[in-house]
Amino acid sequence: MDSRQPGRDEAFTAFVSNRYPSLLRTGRLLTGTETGAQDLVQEALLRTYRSWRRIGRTEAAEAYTRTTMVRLLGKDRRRRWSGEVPAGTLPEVPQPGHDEAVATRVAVRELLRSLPAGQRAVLVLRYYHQLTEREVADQLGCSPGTVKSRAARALSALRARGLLTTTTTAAEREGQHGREA
Amino acid sequence: MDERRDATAADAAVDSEHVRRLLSAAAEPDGDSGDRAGPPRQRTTPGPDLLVRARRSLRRRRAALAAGTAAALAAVAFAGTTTVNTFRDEAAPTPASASCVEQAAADLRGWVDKGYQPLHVTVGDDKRIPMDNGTTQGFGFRATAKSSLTDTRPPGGRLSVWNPLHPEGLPDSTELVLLLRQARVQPEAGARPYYDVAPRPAYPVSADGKVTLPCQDGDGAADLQRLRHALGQR
Repeated sequence: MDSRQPGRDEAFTAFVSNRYPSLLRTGRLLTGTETGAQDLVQEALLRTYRSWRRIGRTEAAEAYTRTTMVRLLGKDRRRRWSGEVPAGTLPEVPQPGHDEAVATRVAVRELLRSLPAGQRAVLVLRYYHQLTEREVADQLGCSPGTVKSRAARALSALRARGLLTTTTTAAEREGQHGREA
Repeated sequence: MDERRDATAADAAVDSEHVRRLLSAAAEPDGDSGDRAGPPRQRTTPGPDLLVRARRSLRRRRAALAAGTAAALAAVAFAGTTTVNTFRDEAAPTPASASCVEQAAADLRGWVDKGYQPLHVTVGDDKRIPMDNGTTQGFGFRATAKSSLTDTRPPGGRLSVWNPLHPEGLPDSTELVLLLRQARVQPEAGARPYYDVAPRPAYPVSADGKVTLPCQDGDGAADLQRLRHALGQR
């Protein structure tokens, strides 16, 4: 049986060629590993292909794939990092002379791996993709208040690892205010 | 007070930019990607095998849906019903889960907040008709509003809808849930008002009043009334 889908195949292939690197970057942040990112992106892309006719446009396809990645992350326990115990100190301490960018990359990835999936997703969507709280809430299927408090906790974790300045950030203040209210 | 608000806004902007830069750095590939075992993969795109897997995945899903539909039809036949639906390219979707309906409602709500109305409309065959408001030319289609999914009153009767971005982008169905709002530029007085259509979402509606929603595990079907009710829940 010939399973080719001419219009769908071409559009999908073009979409993957253009957007795969970008999706993979998001995948790295969501999973913390290269192989985990590839698995997550490809699983999401399979679902995107199946829904291609309904999605209709390449711009919508990227958002659809990203949303699917985030939801797969929350759904699939194998992709959670619950098996890892957050360490008090960074396991990979940059050595003198170590390139600063690489040190930061390693530290941020370690931090991401230690966060619960929900906080990680909020951090990635809110700050990396720069979506609004409402948009993040829509993608995650939670309330904007939940987004706000997860963002505040994630930022606190960043600060605790010395990756942000030690002063309380505006988002944290809002998140704390939201929790107190 | 204004100064304090300005300072907080400035802090937030600095925080956001700082965090964005940290995440951007962490998102880039490197030789030490954090994987515990194995060298990093060099290939940057998945290659043709992904398309093969995707086709296989679609085929399996269709087979599963067809099997489900066949079972449902068998049950209907057993019950003595003679009505048989017409099938399109893709088989009828399975019932949508509660979370899927809630997500669809949340998606629609986001657009409602931007001034769009979710309407159940019938779209004619004239999906791609030239439209001209005197200053701008483009393509659009005619639709008939059947009902609104929100409490507000729907625009009545026949609608002229601008669809400049993707004239063929609507789902292949004559009945749809579309997001419409009055266009900024209107035709000359006396002519039927123009509406803008939100690029997404657009949900097909079947003859039996089921709306097809995008769910995580593929399409899901829900009664229009169920979606309307979910939309009303804030």
